[in-house]
Amino acid sequence: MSNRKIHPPRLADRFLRWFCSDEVLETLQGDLYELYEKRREKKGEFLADIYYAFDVLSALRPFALEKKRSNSNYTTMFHHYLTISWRNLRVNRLYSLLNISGLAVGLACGILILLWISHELSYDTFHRNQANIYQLMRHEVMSGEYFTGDVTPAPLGPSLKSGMPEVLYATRTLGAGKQLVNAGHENTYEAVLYADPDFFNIMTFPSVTGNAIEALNSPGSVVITERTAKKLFEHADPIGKAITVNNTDEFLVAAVIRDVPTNSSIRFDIVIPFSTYEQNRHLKWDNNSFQTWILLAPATNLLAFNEKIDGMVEEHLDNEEVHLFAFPLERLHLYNHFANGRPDGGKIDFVYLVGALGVFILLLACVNFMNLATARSERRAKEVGIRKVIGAQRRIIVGQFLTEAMMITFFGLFLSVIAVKLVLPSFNELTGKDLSMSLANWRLWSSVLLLGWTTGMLAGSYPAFFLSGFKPVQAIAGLGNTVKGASIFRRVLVTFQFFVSIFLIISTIVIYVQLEHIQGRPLGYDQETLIELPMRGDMGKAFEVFKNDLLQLQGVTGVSAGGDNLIKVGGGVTGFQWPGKGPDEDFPVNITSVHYDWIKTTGLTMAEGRDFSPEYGTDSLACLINETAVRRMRLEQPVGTHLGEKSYIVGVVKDFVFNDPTSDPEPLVIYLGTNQIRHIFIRFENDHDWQQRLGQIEQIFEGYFPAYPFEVHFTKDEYQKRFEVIRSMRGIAILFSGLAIFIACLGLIGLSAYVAERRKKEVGIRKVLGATISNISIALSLDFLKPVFLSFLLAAPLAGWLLDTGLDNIDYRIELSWWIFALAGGVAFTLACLMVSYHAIKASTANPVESLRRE
Amino acid sequence: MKLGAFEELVLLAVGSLGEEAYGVTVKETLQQKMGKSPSIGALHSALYRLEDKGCVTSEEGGATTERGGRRKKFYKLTAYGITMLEEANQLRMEFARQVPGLNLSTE
Repeated sequence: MSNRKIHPPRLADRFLRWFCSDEVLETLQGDLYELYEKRREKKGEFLADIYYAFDVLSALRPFALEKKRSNSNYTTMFHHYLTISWRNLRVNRLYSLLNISGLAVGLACGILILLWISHELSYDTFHRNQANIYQLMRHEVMSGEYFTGDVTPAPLGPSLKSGMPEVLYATRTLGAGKQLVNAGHENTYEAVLYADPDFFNIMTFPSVTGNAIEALNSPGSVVITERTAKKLFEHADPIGKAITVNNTDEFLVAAVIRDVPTNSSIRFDIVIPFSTYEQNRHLKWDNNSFQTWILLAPATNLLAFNEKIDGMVEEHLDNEEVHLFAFPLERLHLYNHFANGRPDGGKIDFVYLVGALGVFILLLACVNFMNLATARSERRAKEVGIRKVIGAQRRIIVGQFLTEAMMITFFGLFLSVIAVKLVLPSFNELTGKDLSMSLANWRLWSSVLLLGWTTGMLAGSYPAFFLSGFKPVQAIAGLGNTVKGASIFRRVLVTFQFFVSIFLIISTIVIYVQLEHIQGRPLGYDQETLIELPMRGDMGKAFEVFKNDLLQLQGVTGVSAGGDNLIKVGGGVTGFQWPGKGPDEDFPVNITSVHYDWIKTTGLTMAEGRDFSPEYGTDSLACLINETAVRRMRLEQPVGTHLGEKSYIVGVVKDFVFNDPTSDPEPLVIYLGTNQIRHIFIRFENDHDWQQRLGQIEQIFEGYFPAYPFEVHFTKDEYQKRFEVIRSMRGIAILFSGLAIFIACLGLIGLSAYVAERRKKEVGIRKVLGATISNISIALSLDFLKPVFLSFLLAAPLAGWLLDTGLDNIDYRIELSWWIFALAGGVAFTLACLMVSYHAIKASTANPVESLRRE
Repeated sequence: MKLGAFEELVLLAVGSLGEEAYGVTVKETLQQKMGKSPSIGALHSALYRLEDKGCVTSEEGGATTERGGRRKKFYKLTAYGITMLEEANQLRMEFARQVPGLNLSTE
């Protein structure tokens, strides 16, 4: 008999091990091996293999499966696991702290992201008919490119309902924004929505009192939400009470509905019958300003239906370039982005991205756990060895380690739940949601528990199997268990962690610097002492006298008004005409209308020509134009040029920043108009009395408009609001890079602890041979820092390239300079050095006698 | 409690092997006597059944390299096992005597 190791077919052998109970396995396998050897010698390996496989299959019988005389009592075993785990936690305080905090951070992130994603996915699911609700969208082709939006003409809804049997209900809606609403002495600003009666047939907004559908059928009635009812009428019954909107229209409250859920795409406080809006307006097919919603019969073929709509639209519009189509409400919130006429994701991309980020951070935390656990393997090896010698089976040891991992994870989970509770308010502020962790939400809690369980299993599995595989004799003798690839694996992980961190640090710095850059952009006018009062309802009637009274005030240097507040200037209009316009040439032109003195009040400068002036009676036909429009329309002599239908240019305004502060100015044409005015501009001198002056302005305001609350906006603040999105992006970037760095640092601690442990003997020998402490600690530190170096080399070019590509979408951008990368690298290295120095110094100052004693 | 035919053969094999009865040797003995070998699964399952019935006892020992260091399970006939074999033999003999034309001499 040769003294070789026996190699029966592995698959069959593993199968045998899997199905056999432990009591039967040993003798059965022994017999099989013996037979196998004999056959191998007689008949050769191949046949022996085949026989072996058959034998294994023949052993698949009840006797082999059942557990005989089970001697493990699970409850006591588990109790024992818990006791030992608890002791281990208590003894190694630092280690436990590192682990628990790492996992807690990861889990807290996971829970937050879970909350956010479930909120995003729940949008509009409260509608009973959600599956059959569609919004009408339109594609328009301009210069060969598709533009997609949700504005449709008013007659569309009714003609769909009457002309198509598939359409059960149809409603038009118009969100009119915040309007002044008062009832008795109570004034508030509420979001007004005009809608047809079918609105409540299509959408599910249950009534609390009254019948909402009836209410919209009768002009002069309104539907309000509970919240608004409480504001206006406290606890009194609101039904039949009168409310006034914008001081002009009076309505009677006919129904109260529940508040609109936060996960609704359509939001409002008050619903006014659409017929009220239509009364004195002729809404034709060419006026696209309304949303149209329909409820289709179940099992309607959407493709065929959309073709029918196209046919119907062509009858009414002689425009080949417009296509209307129905878009499912189910997809509205997450998939409403179109690129050149094709669906192109939308918010769902962001959901995926954030989800990936969450999984990622959790993974990083799990990796740390593995790192730290295997780093302490030397210490635990003895324990494993002794247990095995006493007779513990492998699964008992695995169970022990998994229990420990679970315990640590659940401590982490406990902390993370508390942490989420604490940060949720500020998180809501950051993301503009109102997420909550209610105890009643069993779904949430079960998924949180599942999250914890998965994390624990994931984090505990590698150490458990790694450590339980030790051979007892070697483990007790302390001969070390070198697992090939494991240490490389760990280095790769840490490199990866730092790669992510450095990437995020660079991104954060770039976002920060870019934001500063935009905020410092010269505006073209002075925002410092300019205020703006919203003009509502019937205030326009008294504007002239109000303006004169204001100008009497000491220090008020200019008063004007306009359709837009300078920060946001009306939407682009297409199909604008100018001399020399090519047949295929078209771009959106922004149109706004202003009162006299607009240039003077706002502080803009004229490049040539003049501002509107009452001295010229013909200025109602005049217009101003900005430099960009002159350039885009290629006008040689702008002043005096005829533009559009019947107006001519009297002046060119120097470009100033409006709409998107990050992009080049858009073309702008300004008319003298007095009907579309929504903002009053007041300019005053910059001195110490300005607050007192505000009080005076308020007094005059209340004299003229007693029904309206006095509202004032500083143009500067309004402008700053444009940056809120970028600011919250910056906040999120800082948060995530902070977390990634934190976790990466934990990972580095784990790695350095592990390496220091592994090289203890080497360090001992070096010291005996005369190396100094500083020699050794520097050598060790450099070794620990290798992954950081490597990750910097990988991350810097990639981040640089990606960010540069991203910045290309911004007209007013910074150039990436070397110091950004240097700073990011510096931050990463400094942190890394701090992390590794502890272990490097600890290892190099250890007494060599200790580590070499056994040799 | 009766012995099955295969069980009886296994029991006989265990008895004839004395101190050396474990899976592989039992299998080989049966192969010599019967001319065909039972599968190892059938054999082990019969041995466990016999042990449950109390016809054999077992003890573990004697790991060897060709067994990959795994222990053998040695089986021994018990007094009850011997009685069972005798009963089975008697039953068969009585039956056989009633069949005319059978040659019952064992020499």
